[in-house]
Amino acid sequence: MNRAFRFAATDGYIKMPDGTEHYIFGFADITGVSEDEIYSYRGKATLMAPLLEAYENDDVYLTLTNIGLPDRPDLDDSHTIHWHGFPNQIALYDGVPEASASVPVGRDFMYYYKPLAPGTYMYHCHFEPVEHIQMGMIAPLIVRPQLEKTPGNEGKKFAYNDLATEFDREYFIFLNELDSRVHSLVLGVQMFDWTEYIPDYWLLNGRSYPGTVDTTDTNYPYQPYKGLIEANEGEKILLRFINLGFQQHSIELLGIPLKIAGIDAQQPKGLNGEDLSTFKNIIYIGAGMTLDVIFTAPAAGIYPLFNTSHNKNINPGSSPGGMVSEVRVYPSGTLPPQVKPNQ
Amino acid sequence: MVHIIDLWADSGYFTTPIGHNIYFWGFNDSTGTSPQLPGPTLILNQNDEIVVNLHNNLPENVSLLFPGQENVEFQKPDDTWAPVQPQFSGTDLVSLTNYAPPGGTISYKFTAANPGTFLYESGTNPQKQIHMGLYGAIIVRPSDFGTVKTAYGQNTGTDFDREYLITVAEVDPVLHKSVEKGEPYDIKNYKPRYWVMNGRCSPDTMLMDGVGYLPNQPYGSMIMMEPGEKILLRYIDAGIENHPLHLHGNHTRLVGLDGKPLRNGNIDLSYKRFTILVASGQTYDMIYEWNGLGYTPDNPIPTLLPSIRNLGIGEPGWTMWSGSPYLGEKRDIPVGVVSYNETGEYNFMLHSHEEPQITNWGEFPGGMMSMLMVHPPGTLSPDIGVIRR
Amino acid sequence: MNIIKDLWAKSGTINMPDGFSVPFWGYAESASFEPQLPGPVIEAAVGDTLHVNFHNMLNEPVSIIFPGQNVVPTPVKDADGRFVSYTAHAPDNGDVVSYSYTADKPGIFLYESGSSPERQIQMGMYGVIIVRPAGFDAVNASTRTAYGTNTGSEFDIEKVLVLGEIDSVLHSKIVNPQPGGMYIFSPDYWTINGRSYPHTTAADDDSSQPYSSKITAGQGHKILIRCINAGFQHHNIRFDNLSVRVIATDSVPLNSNTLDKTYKKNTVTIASGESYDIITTVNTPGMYMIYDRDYHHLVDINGLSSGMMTIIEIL
Repeated sequence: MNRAFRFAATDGYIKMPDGTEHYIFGFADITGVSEDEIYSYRGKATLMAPLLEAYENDDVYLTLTNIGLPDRPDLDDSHTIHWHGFPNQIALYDGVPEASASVPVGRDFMYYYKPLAPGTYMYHCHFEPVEHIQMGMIAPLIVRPQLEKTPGNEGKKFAYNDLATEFDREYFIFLNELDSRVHSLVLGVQMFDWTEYIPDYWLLNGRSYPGTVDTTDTNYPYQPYKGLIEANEGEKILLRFINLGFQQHSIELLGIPLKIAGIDAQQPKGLNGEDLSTFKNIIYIGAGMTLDVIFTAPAAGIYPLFNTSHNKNINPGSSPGGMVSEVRVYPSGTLPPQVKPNQ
Repeated sequence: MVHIIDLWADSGYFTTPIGHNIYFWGFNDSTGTSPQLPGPTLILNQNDEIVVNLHNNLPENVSLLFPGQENVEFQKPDDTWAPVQPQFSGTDLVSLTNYAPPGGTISYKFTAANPGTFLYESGTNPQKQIHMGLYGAIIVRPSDFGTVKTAYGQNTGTDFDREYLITVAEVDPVLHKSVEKGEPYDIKNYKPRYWVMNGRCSPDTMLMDGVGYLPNQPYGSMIMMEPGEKILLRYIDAGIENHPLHLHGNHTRLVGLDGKPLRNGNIDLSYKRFTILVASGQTYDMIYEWNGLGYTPDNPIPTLLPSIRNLGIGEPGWTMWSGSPYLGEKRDIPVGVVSYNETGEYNFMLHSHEEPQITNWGEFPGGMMSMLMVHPPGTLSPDIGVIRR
Repeated sequence: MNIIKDLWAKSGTINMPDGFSVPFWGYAESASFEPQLPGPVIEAAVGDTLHVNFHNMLNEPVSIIFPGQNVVPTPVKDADGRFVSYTAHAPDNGDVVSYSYTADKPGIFLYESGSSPERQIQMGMYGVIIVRPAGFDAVNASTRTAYGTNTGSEFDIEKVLVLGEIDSVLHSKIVNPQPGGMYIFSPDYWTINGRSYPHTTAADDDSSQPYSSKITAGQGHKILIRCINAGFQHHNIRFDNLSVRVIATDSVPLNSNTLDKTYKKNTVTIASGESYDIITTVNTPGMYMIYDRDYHHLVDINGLSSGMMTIIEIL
């Protein structure tokens, strides 16, 4: 099946629970928007950038349009999209400017992908990646297995082509950090010595607690994904962890053991199909890795999710904050079926 | 078979791409010349008995640890051998193992019983000496290594066509300068400004072995291959930080950790990743293979390439792109852009994903970054991707 | 079997090898005893019901969370819906909170603060629970296992090593709060079982840091080293001059009847909150160092050998 996407590279602002606003670069979804309207998306980048979803064997046509940075009119940086982890990619579609081409301001470039391996990936800009990634040009990417389209499995959801990876609800949990000095220096047309990187905010899906569990549509207009996980008792929940920060992180769901269902978009299987999966209480994930876990929602209640490096669970000067969220389990039948990830 | 290796611990200088000449301590395998960063790669055969004579030309005690080797012994003054032991003065740990004083020599002996990738490093004042550069790699070849090349022996799933070794570390130039001047250094202030692969920062990582203007940094980190070849990558982290090394182009299959194959009997426990979190003091063996997607001018890509005027090519003044979507083909690139692409290769970046580490003192590009270069079939010499002493 | 444990949250002082004393908060076994770092080891067997009564002698809410165990958290939130504690708490000095659960799987687990953990866990509110497999009998070699028979976890000598870090400046600021200033966690001491080398190798005692980290064993003994990271940093634990086998992580055995996923390493990376069970057998007498390969965790203000280091002595 053909899927067409169009993302615009531009800038924007995001909010933290302490009331501060931070300048970002990012992507905005302009799929289907007419040519004379795409520039109205300048300044409307979101953190994270829009989720890219496709099925195995789809023909994905992704157009990147560089619509410029209205709050940095002096900066004519190009951008690219790198599908992180795409197997057997060719240089032209890999999105590394030094090894192919990038997209200058005002121009478009169409990437083509035919994903052959289901799992959790990420995409991000690879132009001056140290700056563009920290500034926010990062997003989740899901490839769904063809198993969902086979007879008898319609309506069911699977993480991989394996019946054992069936789930009822899925959430991606995107981990990264913010060094607020970087964002204000970039806005102020100043350089930053990247060896001095010290984050002061830690984010789940682009938000810091209690923003991670904020369910209003109005408080975080440019941070569209919350970090809240909701389930009915007994449902199977798939969490897709993605780390695109500059640190390693250890995450725990208190009271919920996690079965590892995938790492780096691969099921944990040996060369001959040996089952290498295991249960963990803590998942330790480095930058540039993805990790899928499946758990069965326990008895109704609230189960805290946090980074076990508790020094990252703060907002400057206040706690709890940062990489904290909740798993809210309701009695059977309470929540309607999930229509899209993180809903 | 007894294999005798002489190593000298000595001082020298190494260079970063922004012109910084940094004092270091390193190992050297021939007398009277400068040490190298990292130390010489020792290539041993399984079951060889190894004697390493460490000669100390530095102003403090130096020693060698051989993590992963069993029954390491040292030679006592009466010429008999005894197991190595940590050295104490009261409860003060003077050295993690037996050492040579300044101007002295110590000999170690062990049997390289297991094939794999191993680290050797100083065991004395390691918080200073390993940062200064006193580390290197050991590769032990399986006893059946021959025309069929494997990492862990035949029928272990570790066959390879070419192999490469990358040892990573961090560099705090203030530490090196303090040691050079003999001044105290407070380790709490450790602040890496450079990150190295095989002792070099990008883009020097992408140069060949033995580059003339990097005389003390002899090893490059350019990974070259042809489609369909099995490439054995050996990673070692000699630093203290953990580095998530991400490779573009494909997943890699991890087959060994700390010089032990991921197998129990006939059960293969190897697994695939696109990012390997390389952790301090540890080694990793993996097999990488790129096969491509079958695009050629006769089976063209399904998108239209914009005019080169509408593409950002070589914005820093150079490019590694061929100008063509196809392997083995070169097309026009903008006039004035220097091309580092010779025969239409594909280049895939291999780098730490903690992005500040791919800078040279905070400026991108640099640091812990190299390329996996896929050459058109039949164009790569069989001499590339062979690790020699 | 019912196991009843009373614990008190109290403030105390610990001593570092460079001569400095650091204020800390820890668990004490009675209202009049001094608190200890780490908290008292609690031992139970699968099937036992654990009852923990937690008495607050600090001036802020305290609670205990039991990561990885059969405990349902009951978080406490404030009027704005924000977490005050990750589970039921004793809100103030003099209050008591009780927890009960039945241990359903063997292994080694942390118990630690669920209230302001970025402060309280750092201050020392952590300890270890060891759950023995059903049928465990310490005297009978064939049942003396970590995870039961057929898990490759038989042992002769067992040692628990709890890893931690101490930011002594932060400790002082917490007991003597001063206005302003941002919190940047910056440890200056690294500990195993609450002590820094060379104290790690001194014997068990009655001090506020009662547990030794020294391992003594005979040639050929199966030594089970149970590492659990109560700190906020990851640690790369090097077993010098040894190859060790990892047999479990987060108390899930890697060896079952059908598949042996255990693997050998000489350095094991232990992330914050993780546990690793490691078995080794040594046939040559002598001393073998265990240390954090991040060498900065082996120094104190005098730069001497210190920190996250201990010794295995094979007799």
